[in-house]
Amino acid sequence: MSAAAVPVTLDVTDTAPIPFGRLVLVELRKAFDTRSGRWLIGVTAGLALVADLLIAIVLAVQDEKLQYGDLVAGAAFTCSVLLPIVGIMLVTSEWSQRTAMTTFTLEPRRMRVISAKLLAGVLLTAFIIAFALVVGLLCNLLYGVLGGSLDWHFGWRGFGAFIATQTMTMIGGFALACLLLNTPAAIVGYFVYKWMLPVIFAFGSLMAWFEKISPWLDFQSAQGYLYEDPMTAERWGQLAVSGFIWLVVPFVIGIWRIRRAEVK
Amino acid sequence: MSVSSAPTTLDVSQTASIPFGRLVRVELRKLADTRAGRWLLIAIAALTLLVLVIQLAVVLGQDLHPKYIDFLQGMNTPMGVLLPVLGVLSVTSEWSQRTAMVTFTLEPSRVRVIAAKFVSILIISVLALVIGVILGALANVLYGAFSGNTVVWGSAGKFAVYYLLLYVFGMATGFAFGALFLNSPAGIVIYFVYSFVLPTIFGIAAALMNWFESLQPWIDFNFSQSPLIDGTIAGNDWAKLVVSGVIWLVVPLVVGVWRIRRAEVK
Repeated sequence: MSAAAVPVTLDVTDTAPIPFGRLVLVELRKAFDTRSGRWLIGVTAGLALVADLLIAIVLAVQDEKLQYGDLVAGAAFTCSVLLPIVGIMLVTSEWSQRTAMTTFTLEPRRMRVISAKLLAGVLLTAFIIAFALVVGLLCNLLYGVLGGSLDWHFGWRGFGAFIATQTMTMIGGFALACLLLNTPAAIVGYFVYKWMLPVIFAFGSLMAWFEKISPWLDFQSAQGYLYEDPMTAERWGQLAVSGFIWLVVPFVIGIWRIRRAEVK
Repeated sequence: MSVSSAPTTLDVSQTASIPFGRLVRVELRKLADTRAGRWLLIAIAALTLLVLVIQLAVVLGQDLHPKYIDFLQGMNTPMGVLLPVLGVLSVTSEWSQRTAMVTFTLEPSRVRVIAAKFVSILIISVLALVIGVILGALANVLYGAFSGNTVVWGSAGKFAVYYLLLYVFGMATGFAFGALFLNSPAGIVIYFVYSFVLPTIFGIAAALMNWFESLQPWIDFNFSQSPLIDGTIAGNDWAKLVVSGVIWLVVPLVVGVWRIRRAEVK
């Protein structure tokens, strides 16, 4: 009985790794199934619905013209403000709610978790876009019932631009969240980026030298061109350069940070 | 040795209660001495300076003729957006950082703590105003020195009062939303929805419906504050400010304080 205790080992070599699909499902559920996530998505959908209902009813009563595309745009504007916050919370809530320990214990490969989160964010964007289409459809029908003449005109160009900008906005929020790993900081940073930076850019562009370089720095204006005007090679270039600055750089630094961050 | 031990009592009747001034000092320190608060203050200062420098460069380069109030308006963009966040965090951080237990154990009268927090954000508003007024004056003087044009001050004293009101309204509204939700992300997001999304919706509604256009100044607090920003407030603008302020500032504040008095501290 004097033999030293044999160290216990757990043989996990035969355990299959967690399939990526399951990780994505779990991350989607985290976005929907927490109090903050549920309320955020509820408020986003509710605001979009209210905005579209208002537009449809008022325009029908006042006998003004309305196109399906207008309704989709109305819902889209409302969603675009809050959707990135869902993306932010997907990342930061792991730290603020201290679930990171569980998450990264069950799946120690952090990059797989981050990819699953990013995919969940993109899926949510698709869901919101589909939601905007359906709400627009219902409100357009309502507009018809109330006596307006139905117009199903829908700008495909605008729709494509809408999908692209929404996805980039979501990823932008996601990148900022990876960078800061703190919910309030990321939300405030995002609003500063979205609402204050354009003012500063517009203001600075009064100076000739800054006006020349500002299209290459201003990611939001560069995205705006997707909706209208021909996309020249220069505009694509500006989109790529400014997107690199505001999307790729924070994202790369953020992922580097998550890979090394202490999980507490 | 069979005597049961007498229940121990702590006689605190002679202990003086915490003076209100100390509570205010503590709350001020919580705003500046935490990581979130410190970075927010640094961000506000940095963005304000950045805007001012850009503005100065633009007016000099373009040979524009700014007045003193134009510089105040420029600085109002960063301050107006970020100061209210400080107001939100001053309330909600007690819940999110779980310090409420300590705070309300040391001073069980919750209303006194809330009052101290409110006074501390008022002090920050005054500080913001003083810094803003001085920086604006500096920019205006520099503009005069570099351009050689006459410097226009306007009714500088009156503008200072208007901007003090703006900062107080902004921080107090953030404070009220924070008290209402007791959750940092929720308070911040709802505040930004209120200050960025709501004006757009109100604007569309006003453009579509005549009756709403005449109603809007009375119920849209953002809208009724704009005469303060450009310094043209007069007549019944004040009444509109009061009515819309009751809706968006006083009501949430009262409900929020009621909620804090009853909220479970965990």
